[in-house]
Amino acid sequence: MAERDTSAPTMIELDAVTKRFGDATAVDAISLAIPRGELCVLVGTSGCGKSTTLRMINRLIEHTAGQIRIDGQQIRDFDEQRLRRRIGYAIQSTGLFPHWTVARNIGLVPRLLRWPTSRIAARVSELLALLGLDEGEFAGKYPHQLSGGQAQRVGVARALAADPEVLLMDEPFGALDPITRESLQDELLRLQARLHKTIVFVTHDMDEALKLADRIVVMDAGRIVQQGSAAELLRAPANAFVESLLGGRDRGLKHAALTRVAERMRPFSDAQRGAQAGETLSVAADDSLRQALSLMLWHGVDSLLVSDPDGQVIGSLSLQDAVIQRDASP
Amino acid sequence: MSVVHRLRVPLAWALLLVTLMLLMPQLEALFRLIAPDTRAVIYQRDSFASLVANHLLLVGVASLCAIVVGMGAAILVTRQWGRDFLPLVSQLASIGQTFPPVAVLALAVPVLGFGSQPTIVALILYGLLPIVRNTLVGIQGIAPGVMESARGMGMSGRQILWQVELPLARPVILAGIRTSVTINIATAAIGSTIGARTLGDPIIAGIVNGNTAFILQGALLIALLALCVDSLFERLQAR
Repeated sequence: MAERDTSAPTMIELDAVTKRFGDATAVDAISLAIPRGELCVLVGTSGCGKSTTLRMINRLIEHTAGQIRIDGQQIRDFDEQRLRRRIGYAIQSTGLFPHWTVARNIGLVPRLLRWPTSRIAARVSELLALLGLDEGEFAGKYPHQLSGGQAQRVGVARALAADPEVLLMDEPFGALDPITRESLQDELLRLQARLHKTIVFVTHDMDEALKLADRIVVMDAGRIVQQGSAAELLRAPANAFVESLLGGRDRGLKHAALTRVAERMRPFSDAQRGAQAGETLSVAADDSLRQALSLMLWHGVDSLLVSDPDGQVIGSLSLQDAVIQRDASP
Repeated sequence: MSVVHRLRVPLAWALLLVTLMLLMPQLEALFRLIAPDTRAVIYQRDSFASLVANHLLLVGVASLCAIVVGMGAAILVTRQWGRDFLPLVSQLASIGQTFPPVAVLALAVPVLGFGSQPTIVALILYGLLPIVRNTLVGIQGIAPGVMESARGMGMSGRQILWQVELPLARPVILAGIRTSVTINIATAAIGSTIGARTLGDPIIAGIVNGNTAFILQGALLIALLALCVDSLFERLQAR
């Protein structure tokens, strides 16, 4: 998880925002302040109002009451098209234009902003590289020639094209297979560590929220039920609904998935390091506690060696270390 | 060269059409076999070339109007502010199609008199439905995600129409125009019953005089014209 900088000024602010469709209230007077550079995940079951909330921020849906401010300015003061060109937008179905090449799709918003052609071309190359797509191979392809994961990468590249400060993502990885989804989640975290965008991310998948979020906002029936970091939610779910979203009895494992092995291991002294050549079962210090526990369960052992990224053994992790947090470092 | 190559099918039909149109009198012996008892075997009241030209002119003017009106109406009712008129427009277009063209002609004559004008009106009404329907289907058939991201990226309504909706709906719209024009090439012949000069003239004359050769000459040229235009659209759609 990224550090949360509480001193950062608020980038997106929702102030008692309500959306009614006829008699039905989709979003009920929610207030939310998202600091600059935060990855905020709205999570909840379908129909809880999370997508509606997201789409009110770029005015795809107009809010009925309350105020929404971006960078201190009310969104109603902007021309709606100009507002949207300042906000990146990525959706589950990617929404790539099927009659345009990948390069042209990515260059959409810069073209709307009338950037010079050479600058657009340079930006497209930069983004393809950033998203790990080979320019020679992908720039000229059409969306139907891409796999789901590739198409979603292009969708994210397009959302980032004009270097917006705010990025809205509506279940962007929801339609992908678990392996691709996980790699794109890692990619998003890697990108975010570099770009520090203010991201509002909607998902119904609590595991995704726990993995990605600086802050999780749990919504139910158009209201915010609880908000906080993943650890805060796991430690003290506000009610039974949040608890059930967190997986009930799986909570322990979900928490373990958020803890790195390095936080619980016993580091070796230099003398101990040489003596461990015989054992082969090890986890990386950056792996999660959950992965370590799984390894122990699978192999029927109660301790593992811990290695650093270079493969050097740097410590050990016993079952007891993993399960019970020690108060002070030894 | 490549253009000629791509258009070789329509060009072949066009060549056949022009040849037949110009050399019809030379085929007198052939038509004599079909209608041995009649005095004149080749239709002479007008040159076939001028009939083809006039036929094409009528269809062209009517189709152009039908395209402008039909596409325009379909585009208007698929805008946010025009949605209320969607059922009305699709119903009107359907009614245009269910009306027999002869009835339209009969109704148009008292208002517009005899000749080309009522024929064009009938052809426009008759050609509207496929264009309206296909434009609607083409625009409404665009994936919702594409439309949502077009709006979400900050495209204006006009940019969405020209850069997203029309290009994506193009194949379906073209298919509608193709149907409309092809049907109208055949339907235009009926204009001859109210005094428009079309390739229907030899057919009407043939029916009145019991001259099968006249009927055949008109029908052949209409068929070739339709095939030529249809294959041209086929190439256009394949692009």
